[in-house]
Amino acid sequence: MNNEERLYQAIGEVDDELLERMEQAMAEQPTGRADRNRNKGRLLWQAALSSVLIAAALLLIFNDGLFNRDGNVTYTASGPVVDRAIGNEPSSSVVTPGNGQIVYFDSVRHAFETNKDSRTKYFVAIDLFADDTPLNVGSFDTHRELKRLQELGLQVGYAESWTYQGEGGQVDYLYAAGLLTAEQLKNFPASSEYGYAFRFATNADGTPVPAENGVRSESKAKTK
Amino acid sequence: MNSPSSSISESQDEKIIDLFWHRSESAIGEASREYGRYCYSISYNILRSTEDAEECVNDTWLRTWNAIPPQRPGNLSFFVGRIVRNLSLDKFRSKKAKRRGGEISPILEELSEAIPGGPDTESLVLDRELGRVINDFLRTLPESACNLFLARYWHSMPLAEIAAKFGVKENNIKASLFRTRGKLKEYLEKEGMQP
Repeated sequence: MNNEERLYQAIGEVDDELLERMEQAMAEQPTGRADRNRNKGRLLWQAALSSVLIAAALLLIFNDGLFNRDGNVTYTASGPVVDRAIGNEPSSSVVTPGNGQIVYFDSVRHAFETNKDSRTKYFVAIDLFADDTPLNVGSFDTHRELKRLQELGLQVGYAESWTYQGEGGQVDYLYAAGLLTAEQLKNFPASSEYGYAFRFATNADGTPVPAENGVRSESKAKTK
Repeated sequence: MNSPSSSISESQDEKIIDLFWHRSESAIGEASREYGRYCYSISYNILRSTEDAEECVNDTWLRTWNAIPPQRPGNLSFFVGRIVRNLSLDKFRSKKAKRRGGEISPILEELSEAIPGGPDTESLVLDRELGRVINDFLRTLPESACNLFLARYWHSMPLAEIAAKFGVKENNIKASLFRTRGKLKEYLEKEGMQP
């Protein structure tokens, strides 16, 4: 081990108290100055998009989406939809997309390339990355990026899957998802700030997450 | 990525530690659910490989299982974070991951500036002693400089991520880290850590 590595390793042993202070400082800055500066730059084009938004909102009301009482929209497909691999599951790609890049898992690419029905929507999980690092689904960046895509008229948001918890128990969790056509997948409006990986989501037991679950525009729990 | 500890109650942390303590097999599943993404994020920053990071995270649960008991950590997230950090450094060294261009290569280069006598000199300090001196040094820093230093060199976060987390421009972070490395070098020299 060289000196740099030794120093790096020694830094790992710093007191919990210092680490807690750092994490507290990070937690207190959900929207930093850099974000605010970026937001300033967005104001202009957001204003220009406002008219498009109104049209998109009207489309959502009369198209597939249904508004809940809390303003949350649940997108569901009224036509043909694919939510799992077609035929044999091809081997999956695990390449991490860089900023501005899009990666389709083999199963997704195979599905939209072999299905010729242009009305078909694909119920896919969208893994977001920033600087090659996966974004947490609950993060501000994920929320902001999904909002941007929604504003462009894409049916993206949050879907629910489950994983195991404890002994035999199950727990639901959210992930970023979309109901997208082949055209939208091929010409996905990637931001230069993020990388995107599209895959079909599965539950912890390997079963596909059914498209009937829909995609919610907001991460908040549904009102029942 | 923040440790999830801020959103997990202490009792939940205690519950997971108790599961390890009582050798319950569900301990690993619980720890993985609460801290899996956190550990993955640390490891991925170092290795830039999904496969290697997942392997390190899996090994982390085994190490944790072997460590508790006899150890009983006060903060489970930092405990498992340290384990995955060390495992990832070992993996980096064994696989020469430098070629992948992960965050660890520039980090080690930056840290070489803080080593008295330069990076090629043979180390004459005991690791445990070095850890104590670094702890003492960090307490001499202003809080903001200390936080940025730890985000970069404990969490191995990319500069852009630190900028987003702390709301500070990247250039200001670079300047702060540069000053802190210089101070650390002086401190290590003063403490007799030079060869």
